[in-house]
Amino acid sequence: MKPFVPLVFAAFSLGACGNYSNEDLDFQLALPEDGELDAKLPQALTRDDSSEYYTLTRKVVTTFNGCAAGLVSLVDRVRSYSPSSRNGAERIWGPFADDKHPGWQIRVVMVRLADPSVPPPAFQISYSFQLRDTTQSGSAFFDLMTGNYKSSDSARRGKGNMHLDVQTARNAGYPADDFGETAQLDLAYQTAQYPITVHMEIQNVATATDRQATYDYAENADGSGALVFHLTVDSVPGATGARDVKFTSRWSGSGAGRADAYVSTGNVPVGIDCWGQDTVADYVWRWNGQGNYGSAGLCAFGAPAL
Amino acid sequence: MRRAGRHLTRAGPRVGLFLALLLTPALASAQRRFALVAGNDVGGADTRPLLFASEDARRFHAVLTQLGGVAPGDSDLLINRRADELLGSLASLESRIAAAQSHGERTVLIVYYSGHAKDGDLRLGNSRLSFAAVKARLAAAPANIRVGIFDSCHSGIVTRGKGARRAPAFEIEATGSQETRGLVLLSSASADEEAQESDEIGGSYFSQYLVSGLRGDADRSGDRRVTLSEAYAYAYARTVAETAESAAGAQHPTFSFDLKGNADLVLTDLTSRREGLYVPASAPAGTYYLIDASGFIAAEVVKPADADRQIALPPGRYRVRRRLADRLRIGEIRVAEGQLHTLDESRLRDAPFSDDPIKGGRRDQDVKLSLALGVTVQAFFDAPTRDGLFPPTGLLSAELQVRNFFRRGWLLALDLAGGSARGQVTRLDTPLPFRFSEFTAGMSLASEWPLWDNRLFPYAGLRLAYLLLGRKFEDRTIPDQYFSTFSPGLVAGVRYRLWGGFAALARARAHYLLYNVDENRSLGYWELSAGLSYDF
Repeated sequence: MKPFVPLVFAAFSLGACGNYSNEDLDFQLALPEDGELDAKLPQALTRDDSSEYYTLTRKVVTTFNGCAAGLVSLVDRVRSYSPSSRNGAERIWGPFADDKHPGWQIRVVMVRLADPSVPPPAFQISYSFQLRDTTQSGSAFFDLMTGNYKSSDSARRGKGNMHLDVQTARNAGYPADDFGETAQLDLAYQTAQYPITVHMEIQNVATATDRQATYDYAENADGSGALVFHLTVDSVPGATGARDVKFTSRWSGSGAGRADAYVSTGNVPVGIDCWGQDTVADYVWRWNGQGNYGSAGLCAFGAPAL
Repeated sequence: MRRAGRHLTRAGPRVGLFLALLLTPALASAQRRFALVAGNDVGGADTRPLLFASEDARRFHAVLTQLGGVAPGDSDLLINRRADELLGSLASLESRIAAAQSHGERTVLIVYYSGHAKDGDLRLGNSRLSFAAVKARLAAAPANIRVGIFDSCHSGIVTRGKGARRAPAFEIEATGSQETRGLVLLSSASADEEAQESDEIGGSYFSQYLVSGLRGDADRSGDRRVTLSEAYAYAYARTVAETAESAAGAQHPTFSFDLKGNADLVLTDLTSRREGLYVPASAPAGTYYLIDASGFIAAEVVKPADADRQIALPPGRYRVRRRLADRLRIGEIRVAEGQLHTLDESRLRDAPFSDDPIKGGRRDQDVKLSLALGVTVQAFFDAPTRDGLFPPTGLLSAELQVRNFFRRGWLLALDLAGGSARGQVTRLDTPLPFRFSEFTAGMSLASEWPLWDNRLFPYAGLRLAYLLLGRKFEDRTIPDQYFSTFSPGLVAGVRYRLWGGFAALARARAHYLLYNVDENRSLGYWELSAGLSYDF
């Protein structure tokens, strides 16, 4: 009887195929969705008379969201397709030919990690977006991006991080033209509870004017939020010797907000804008006194803690 | 009981010593004849359906009405009917016989039964009628001559008693009266034998040879009339000879009589219908088989050397076969209305045995095709599977059913079904609703048992299904999923004949399914169906 059972399994396994899997869902849920890590400003539009720093905040938010979306899009194949192979706790998508770069292959590898601090049904999953130069015989896949996700009480809520290593890809000959001057990008996020936070660090190539940028975004349940943008540059125009620009923007759920700009490592304030729900400035202060008006008492927020 | 099968049986042992008859044949034209002909393929519990009982009855009825002087209005043909219906029909004939006799007509009543018999009873579906009761009824019937012919297992029980014989012919003792009157009973097998059927000849041995003899091959006197004793002698000899080598052993027809008078009974008058086949004396001796369009033997002609033979046949095309030691001689003839076709040996050709036109094809006529439409509810036994993987589903189904294709009583079914349902899988408190869809194609092979006079048909068997299962998530960021596999299972159901060709169906299935995407898991699911079928 015993040899009969494997034979039956083998016979019906031959006819059985598909991607109908509940476990695959965990892998797909582990990845941040498009827009999930976006910074969200309550107002969607700017006006001609919108506050200068509100407008600048929108631009920073747009840049931040673009970087996050670019990173997330690398692993979009995981959501678009079912795994190409399953091996225990590992799932592999691909390899696929890189349509934009002939001769290169792409694959995504995801592994469910055994972590005592994350007892089932919670899960921790690591993943990597890998490249391989098929024109080089014997070449192996290397990581362009790696990530990790640890679920909370909900599959889609948890902590995660992503690391993009464009420089390694460039060194391997990959035409990383889509990544501009970026050398490395790190992103860490927490969506398990409010405030939702996203920390992003961008390290550009050595020849870039902007060396490094850091974003810290926080989102509260009531729609209020904050974005701190820290840029390291060769020089700050109008501020001799300055190397850093720090821009702290906060807003309430209604849309009123405040942004403070600093330069150099001494956190020297160079400007303040406070705006109302209409995005028009109620209070403006510049270090050189040009265009100042209004009263700081009209601001929705006080000075940021530095 | 009667044995159904490939080489099949209906009667008893040793050849007797009597030879045929002594009497002056009574002309059929001088009598008014009534006939009750019944055939029943089904014998109820503990019997297997017969293959050809109803067909035997039809053929016997045909020969009586074509050549036997029985007017169609004076005969009843009962196919697969109950005992009370048979008795009702008999009562109706008896009253008409009594009426005819009151007008001075001499009457003959012929009762023929082909079907199961067991434990002293005729088995008509689930109803029973004892041989003793039938015999008593015949004995008391008002007709001048009553002839009972029983083609069923152990039917020799009806001939037990006075005058019972198991012999190639019977002798009627003259008592001086010019008019024969009384009772004759013929059985296809002795009381301890089974009656046999044959796929090859497409009927029971006894009935086949009785009919063949009545069509002319039993006319040993050459007077173009076949008497009861000639027909019996012929059927007896052929039945014993053909069943001698069968697995069930030789089958011996029997007879009994209680007659007064000196005239034998002419059963068929070959001069009443001209169409048929004439085998001239110049034709080679041997047995000529006349094969109808279904591939079965319609009649046989045993032609001796230097003698001619004539057999009556309904108009139509027939293939002729004569078997030689190393080959066949085959050809085709057409019997036209009112025409006697003369066999021309030169128009037969040699053929290898593989070209034998006798294919046992009567079975093809039993093949029945049905189309069933219905609704099905399906669910997996395992609750977690049902809740998060494959939800309970409603399906619309269509099924093509072929009966008696591989063998009688077997059902081959091909089915298609499709349906959908809403489901939801929850992963770590994250509900993911989806639309589940399913398509199945299946093939079933089942055995069917007719009950309640062929109205109720329980069946059970095996099924192999192909399933294509899929789900689309409401969250469109999750790709569609599918799973396809083969699934073996069991099927059981019941079909209840309603009216016309329609029948109601109820069915249950239980299936095994190997799920192997996340891991190898043996799952099972059940299905309940209800529907309506139509027999073509």
